[in-house]
Amino acid sequence: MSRYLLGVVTQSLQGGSPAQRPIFNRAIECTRALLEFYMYARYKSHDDATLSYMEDALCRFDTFKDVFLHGRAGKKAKAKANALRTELVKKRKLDEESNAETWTPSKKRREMNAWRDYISHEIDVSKELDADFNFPKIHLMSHWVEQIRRYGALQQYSAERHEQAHKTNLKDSWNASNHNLNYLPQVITFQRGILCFEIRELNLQALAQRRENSAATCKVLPSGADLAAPLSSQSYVKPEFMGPQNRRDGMRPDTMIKDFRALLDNTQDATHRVTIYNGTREFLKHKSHNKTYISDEQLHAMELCIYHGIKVQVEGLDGERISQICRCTGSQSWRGGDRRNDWVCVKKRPGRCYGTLNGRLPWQLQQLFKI
Amino acid sequence: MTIGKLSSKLRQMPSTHSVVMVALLPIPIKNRNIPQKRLDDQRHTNREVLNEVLRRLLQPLTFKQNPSSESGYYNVLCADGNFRRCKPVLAAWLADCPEYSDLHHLERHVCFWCECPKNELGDYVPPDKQHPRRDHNLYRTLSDANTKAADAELSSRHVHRGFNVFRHIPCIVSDLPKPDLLHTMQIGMLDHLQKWIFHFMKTHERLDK
Repeated sequence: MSRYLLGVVTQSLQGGSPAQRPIFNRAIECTRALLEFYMYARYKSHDDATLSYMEDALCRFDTFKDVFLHGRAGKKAKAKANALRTELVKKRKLDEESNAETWTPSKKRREMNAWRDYISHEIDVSKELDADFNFPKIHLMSHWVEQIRRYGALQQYSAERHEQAHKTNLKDSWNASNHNLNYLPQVITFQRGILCFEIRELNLQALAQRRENSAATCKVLPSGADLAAPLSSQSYVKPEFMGPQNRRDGMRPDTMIKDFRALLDNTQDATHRVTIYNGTREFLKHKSHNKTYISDEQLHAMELCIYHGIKVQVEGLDGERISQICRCTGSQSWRGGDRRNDWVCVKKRPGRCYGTLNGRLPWQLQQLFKI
Repeated sequence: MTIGKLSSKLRQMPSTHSVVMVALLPIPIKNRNIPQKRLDDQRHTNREVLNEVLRRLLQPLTFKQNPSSESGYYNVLCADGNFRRCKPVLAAWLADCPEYSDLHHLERHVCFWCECPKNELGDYVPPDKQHPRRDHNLYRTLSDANTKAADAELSSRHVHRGFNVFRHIPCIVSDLPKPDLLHTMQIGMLDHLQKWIFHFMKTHERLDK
């Protein structure tokens, strides 16, 4: 906008009577000086010459700015001018009435015109006398040259980015929240969540690079969540298993299966089948004391209960305890719609771990069962 | 909040998360149609609330909470997993004019860098004849003195009484505001200039050209 302003002003103030011409020129010069100052201020680097141009532009702006003084008349100045106008109009009426008999029509017309010019001139003068340029922003410009000398070019301080953060930090997080009564913590933690995932991504990229180039050292970036995590593992409330939502006896399992293979047969996806199988074997190996290898036949003969949900107490990103309900319907539908398999973040090692997610990895629940 | 060692190119990129939200400040209700005295009381309370919030926010930096902040070094966990000795310094605070007045306990419509009188704001100041800079250490002692003479001195410099958190942390308060292109020029002076030109053309009947 500022680039075209001068052109528009010059174009529209072309011509004019000899009396108007100097005023117009002053207005154009004033606009030019201010825009020049603005353009110089936007330079990415400065030296003494550009700073002296800036000072010069500001000085010129000051000499020519009086031409706009009329437009600076505030409410008070306008009210005063209006009072003056009513007073003058009263005077004109008195004058008209006292001379009504002596004036001829043409003389009357001349007198009235003279009065009109006089009143408008008086009001202009009054407005300009009361108007001033005393507002803070015009004064702030006088400090800019000194500030640039001390701290460098102004591009770095532009508040555009910070104003834009109102959108990314506030409005987006408000839209992402559930608009509930406790939306404030959600708004505040939203950006941190995104940040955590981005650092996690960087970590994974660095890890992948390390595998390619083993000589290069790789460091894993911690996040603020690491500090918040408690160092000692504390006891959690025992998780509660839950059956399907639509049944009254919610704590009872959905189905009892005597054969592990039947569960595997139920899942259509081959990769899911392998995941469940391997996971179960790992778990049993970890739990059993003798750590013997479990054969496929043993595993297939396991007796298990399938559930639809689990209520567990988990540790939030801030290290606080929260109760969460995870739902997993397996291959069945959830409330008459699509099937629901929640994503969970699993902590693989106890205590403080590396990484933004504090040692957690995201997984999708495929089946929920108790052996 | 952002940190000063970033290059400005990096800092201005929204995708880099260079600017982090630290806190949400409370916004008081705007009461325009109430008597002046109640309005002043309300503004006083607003300033106190704002200062209390900022005090809690900047607590690690204040002299009282952390005597070592005078020498100024902390052990900080950095992004690469190592602890480093850091000296956090509040260097700049970007805001618009009225917000600065609230933050620095100044009256509205005054300059926050120098003690320029209100009726000389529009005058051109040559670079070698600047007004005296604002000295917030002096304001702090005057505000703590709590005598009538001190109050008169403060109000002659257009400063409000009371606790201000910036005067209690290691920084030069009058250096916190930085010249801001967006607020001062783009939506400040250029906006004014447009209005003036509009008015000028209206009085000289040049609007339709």
